[in-house]
Amino acid sequence: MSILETRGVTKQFGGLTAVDDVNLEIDEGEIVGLIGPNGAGKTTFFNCITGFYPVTEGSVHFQGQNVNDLEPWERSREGMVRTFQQSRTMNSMTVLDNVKLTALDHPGEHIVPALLQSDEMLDYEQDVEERAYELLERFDLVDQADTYASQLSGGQRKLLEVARGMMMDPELFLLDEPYAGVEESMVDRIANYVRELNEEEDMTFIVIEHGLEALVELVERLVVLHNGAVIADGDPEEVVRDEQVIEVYLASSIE
Amino acid sequence: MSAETPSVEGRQDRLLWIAGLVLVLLGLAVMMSGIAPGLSGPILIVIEVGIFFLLYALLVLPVNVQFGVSGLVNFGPVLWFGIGGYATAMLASTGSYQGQTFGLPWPFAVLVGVVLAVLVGLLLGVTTLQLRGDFLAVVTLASAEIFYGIVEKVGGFGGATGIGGVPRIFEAGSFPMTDVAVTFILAGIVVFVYALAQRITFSPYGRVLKAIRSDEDATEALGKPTFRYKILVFVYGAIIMGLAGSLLALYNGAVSPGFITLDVTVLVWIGMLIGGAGSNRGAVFGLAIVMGLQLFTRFANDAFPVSQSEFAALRLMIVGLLLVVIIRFRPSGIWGNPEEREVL
Repeated sequence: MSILETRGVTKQFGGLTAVDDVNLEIDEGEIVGLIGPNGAGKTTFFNCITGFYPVTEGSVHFQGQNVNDLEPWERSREGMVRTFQQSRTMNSMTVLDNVKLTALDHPGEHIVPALLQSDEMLDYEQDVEERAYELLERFDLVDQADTYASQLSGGQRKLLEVARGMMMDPELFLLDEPYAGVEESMVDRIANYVRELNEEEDMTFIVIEHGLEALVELVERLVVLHNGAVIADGDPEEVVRDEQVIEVYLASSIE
Repeated sequence: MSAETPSVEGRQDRLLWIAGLVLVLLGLAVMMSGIAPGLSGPILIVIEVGIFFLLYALLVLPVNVQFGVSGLVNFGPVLWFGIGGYATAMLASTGSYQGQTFGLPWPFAVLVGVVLAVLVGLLLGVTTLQLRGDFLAVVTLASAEIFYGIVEKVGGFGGATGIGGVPRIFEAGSFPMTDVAVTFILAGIVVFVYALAQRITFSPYGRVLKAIRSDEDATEALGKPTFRYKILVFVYGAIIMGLAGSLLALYNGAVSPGFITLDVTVLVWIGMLIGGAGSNRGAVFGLAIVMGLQLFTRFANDAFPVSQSEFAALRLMIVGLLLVVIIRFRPSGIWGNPEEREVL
């Protein structure tokens, strides 16, 4: 069953077509890589899926529901969680608070329970904290729980973004260049986490990377964007040998 | 595993509510007892500055939750102060030398003042909060100036004289005792508002506000309706600041443009920045430092052979110097947490 479907998704900025009629169907439990040279429209496509950009044409369907009219925060509550190309951790908050922040339906996020400090809110907070520590444990950040996120390394910040996303129990996790700017060993760790979450929790992933070979080992399916349009979609080994794909990548590296 | 509780430290929180209640009761007791001892001039000056410190504390706390906690640059606290003050004064006044008055019961006048402040907060919020932070700063600053211009120039608001004849609800046995009673009651209210600000700041609600301060888009991506939070923070601030204006009118018996100048906004902001934006305690103590300095220099003037206006200029220079020193050596303010300061 498809978890995400884009039908003719197009995004134009003035005269520039950044995403061009993309029809994509992602099945539940898939790990899909989305690659393409600089300016191919990968992040713009993510922004269309997650609602940060309203689409010019077409529609986005998540779990069978048209989500075009949902705000980004509503879409993420439906189970569609993303990370950003540049890590967007809350640097003036502690690592623990970064994770606790994303708890869903927290009564303490409404003004009356927050002011009255209701028992319901305090109990909920207790549960949230336990869950947050479990996640920090899992992503090996527990020693940094009380440090500010600004103190973390680039790789740890990527992990924190995944950990806090997990707090929302996503069905679909969209990772925007999770390997960018992290050391080699961290690349393997992040890939292992993705595999683990996919196998154990049947979580669906769409992963953006820039390089042609970067995702071949991780993903089962590779989609290539060029000038906003899909030019290849299929088995990674075949896609990276596709002539058109190679041509596009060569052209961009010559530029 | 050390874990910070979501609540404000329970014991301190409870003490605050008790202290606030005791202060308000003390004020009421002074009012009702009818005692009327005389007080010397300097003490009266101290009390008067103290009363304005308490009124402005009711501005600096919401501004700190808006800016220090949520990152929203509100350069117009005096706008809501003025709306609450003028609405209450005009509705409750039983006869002013100038301006339109209605002679309605004062509790109703306070209620309308707060509601108007909220409406203006909503209007400014809905139209500006979707824009970037600096636009909000300009719009709030300009709105406060426009309001000042309206009450000064447009008929019905009493011009430069303002609105008089407002019932002084804090009347005690004598004029000095009224001031003493007001001080106690306002101090109690400030303690209550401080306790509320602390609860917001350290609750999951405050966590969302801090996240918005840090990265609004990412907060939205994490399932938080950030726009709604920003609007509400504006509305809650409007309630407290409008109430502060109402209290000014009911204590003073009058309001005039002189009470709602840009100077009030500047004082509140300097106090907050010196004390440390983001820390409720810092904001209040910072304001106390700046106003204490003003008070001190008021007396110090006698010792210097310069005129009062020259001395006022000197006083501003001292405050300016203090601000420069703080920004240079401790940019997050005296009580501020350097790690929680967002580099804008």
